[in-house]
Amino acid sequence: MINLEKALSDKRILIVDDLVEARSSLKKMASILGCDVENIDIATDGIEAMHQIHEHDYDIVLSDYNLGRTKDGQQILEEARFTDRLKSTALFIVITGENAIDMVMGALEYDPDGYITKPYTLNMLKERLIRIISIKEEMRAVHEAIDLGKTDLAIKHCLQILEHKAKLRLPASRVLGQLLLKKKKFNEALKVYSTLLNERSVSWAKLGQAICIFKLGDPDSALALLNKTLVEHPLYVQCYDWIARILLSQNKPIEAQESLQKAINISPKAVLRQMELGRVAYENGDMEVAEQAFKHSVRLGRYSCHKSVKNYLQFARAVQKILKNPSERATKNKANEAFRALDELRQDYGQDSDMLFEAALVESQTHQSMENQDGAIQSVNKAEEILATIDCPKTEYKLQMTEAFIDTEQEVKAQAMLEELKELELSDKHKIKLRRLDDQLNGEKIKQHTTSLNDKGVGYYEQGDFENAIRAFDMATQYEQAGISVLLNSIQAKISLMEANAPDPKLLKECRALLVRIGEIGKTDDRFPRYARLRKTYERLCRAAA
Amino acid sequence: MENQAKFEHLVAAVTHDLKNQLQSLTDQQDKIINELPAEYQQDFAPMLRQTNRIKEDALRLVSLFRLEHQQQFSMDDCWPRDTASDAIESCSIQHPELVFDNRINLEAQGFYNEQLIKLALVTLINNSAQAGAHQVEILCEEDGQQGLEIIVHDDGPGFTDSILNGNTDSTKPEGTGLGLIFVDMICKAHKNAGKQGSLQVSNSATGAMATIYLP
Repeated sequence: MINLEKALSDKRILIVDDLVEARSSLKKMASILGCDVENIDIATDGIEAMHQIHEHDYDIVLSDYNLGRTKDGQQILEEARFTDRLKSTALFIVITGENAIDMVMGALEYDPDGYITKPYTLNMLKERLIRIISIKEEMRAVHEAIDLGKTDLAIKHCLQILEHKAKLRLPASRVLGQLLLKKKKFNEALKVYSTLLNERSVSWAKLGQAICIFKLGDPDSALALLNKTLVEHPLYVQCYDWIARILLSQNKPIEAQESLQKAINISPKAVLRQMELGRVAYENGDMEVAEQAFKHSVRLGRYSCHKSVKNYLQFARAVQKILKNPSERATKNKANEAFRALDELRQDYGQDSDMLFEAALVESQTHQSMENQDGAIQSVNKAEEILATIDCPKTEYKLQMTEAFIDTEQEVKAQAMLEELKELELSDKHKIKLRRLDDQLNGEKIKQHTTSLNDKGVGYYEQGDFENAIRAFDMATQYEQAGISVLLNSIQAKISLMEANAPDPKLLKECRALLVRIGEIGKTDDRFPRYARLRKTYERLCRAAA
Repeated sequence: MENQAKFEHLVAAVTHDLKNQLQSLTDQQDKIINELPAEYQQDFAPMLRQTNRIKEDALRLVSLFRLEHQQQFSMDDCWPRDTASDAIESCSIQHPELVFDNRINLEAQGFYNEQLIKLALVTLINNSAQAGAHQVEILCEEDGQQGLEIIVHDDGPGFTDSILNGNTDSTKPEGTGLGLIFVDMICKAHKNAGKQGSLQVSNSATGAMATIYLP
């Protein structure tokens, strides 16, 4: 057994508790037990704790589980280990009351080295610390291997411990199971958990067993096992997470969402869980739930390693889907929440053009839902500008841009983007989307645009400026919607230019293409005489050019 | 299952709050007492006893509730010497006249819910004190098959025949008999590898002996 005073004397320690009396009492106890007060830091909440953990290398973190509105102790642990800021050889001890014991003890991946239950005394703290530090010391070789990234070596050490030190079978099996799961050695991990469960009924081994069974291809048995574990430990929230994952794999998204909602009811502070619920609910079309889940993801993720662009965008997208009755105050407030989230996103990730593009599109959709057409157009144009700055933008972006142009009735831009897309090699998924957008495009608007280009061309023609006239008519004839008269005007401008100068093979080729596009015109058609005259001149110019 | 989880969640939240407050209360008491001159510290003993009683009763109430609802208790590796030491610490406040001897090996290890077993030990020690014992020793034996026996042995008058025969549960004339029932419930809540925990009462040459068996 270790000498606690000696073991603590050179350790750097972080104490995390939101209650002032608890902090000072724990600090005092720690110093009585041998810690150097100079080596003890204090954090009052999860955010401060993470800040400290990023600043210093701690040997021991003593954290209360419940820390008010932000992160809980378990999340500090997850983040500290996830970001590699707390080595495997360092200790994380959770101090907990009643409501978290199943969650703390059941954590399969990021489990604390030990926990102390309230209410505790100095003597109890001392005893627990001696035990926890002693176990960690006995397993030092395993943790050192983990810190060096040598998983196979860590596995080897675990197996040795299991063979020679029967009293360490619980902590050794726990680490061994984690390492084998990491290596995807599910058969071996299952054996570890099953062997242990024959002797010790521990909840995390039941979860581990269920995960292995699922990974080995038997989702129904895994579900049965998880549900049975939940009957015994109704607050064992990680079981709900895995039930949801399994149900999703079985293509049962509605049931998966229900399971995630149960988990959230018990433990609402986990960012990843909120993100997953948001994602599943969004896919299920349950925007009310998705919006709430993404809202929590944004709030909880704000000061965490899980802060991401995705959180903000998904929140704004979900909000946009639930905006009804734009004149109502509640709807306005909701829309403003989305705008604020997008502003925050732009502030924090301003260099990320992809994000800025997507944010501008979501913003535009939100404006549209609020029936603010000017705002929508402004945001779409912002998106257009950003898209132009992205090197080789994704096809998906171009499709989104096209859709945004259509939604804001900017059909001409939409048509141009569609034409660009038609030139590309597209996947089947993109082809389907392109076809849908093509169908959505309002032909009447394009026709109006070609008419205005045509009028411009006629103006130039009348002034004898054939070159500019040709340019305007060419722009008009780019659109399928351009009528026969526009096509004839274009031919006439080209012919007039050639008659004024000389026959030009390029212009003749363009005239031919336009004539082919017009096709046959009936003799009774009003436009027939003009068509016949132009055709005749074209043929003459062809002969002259030959 | 969903309602059960909600209900359990609510109970756990209230309990958690209660425990937080109790922890805070004892921390503050300790702080005040430590700041006082030594001659006045003794005056606070009754208050400490009362707080300790409230703490034990609160834990007992919660445990009874969960036992009644047959909910599973989380079990983990535990060290009986530490558990006994915690129980002794708690009982020393209540019964300063009692002499304790924790004879459990430092290395002895078990698999149980520490809070519950501590409560069981506190209950058994209280019984000994109230029966008139002056000394209590706590021992432990590992059965070699992962099972464990924790024995509370006192120098009191011993259990009456009616208790030993199972006709009554009370160790004292005015007793409710709930103490032994509570300990028995705690033992039975411990199930492992197909076996169930139990409580055995007997008399030695010098006093009463209560044996908690944990599989």
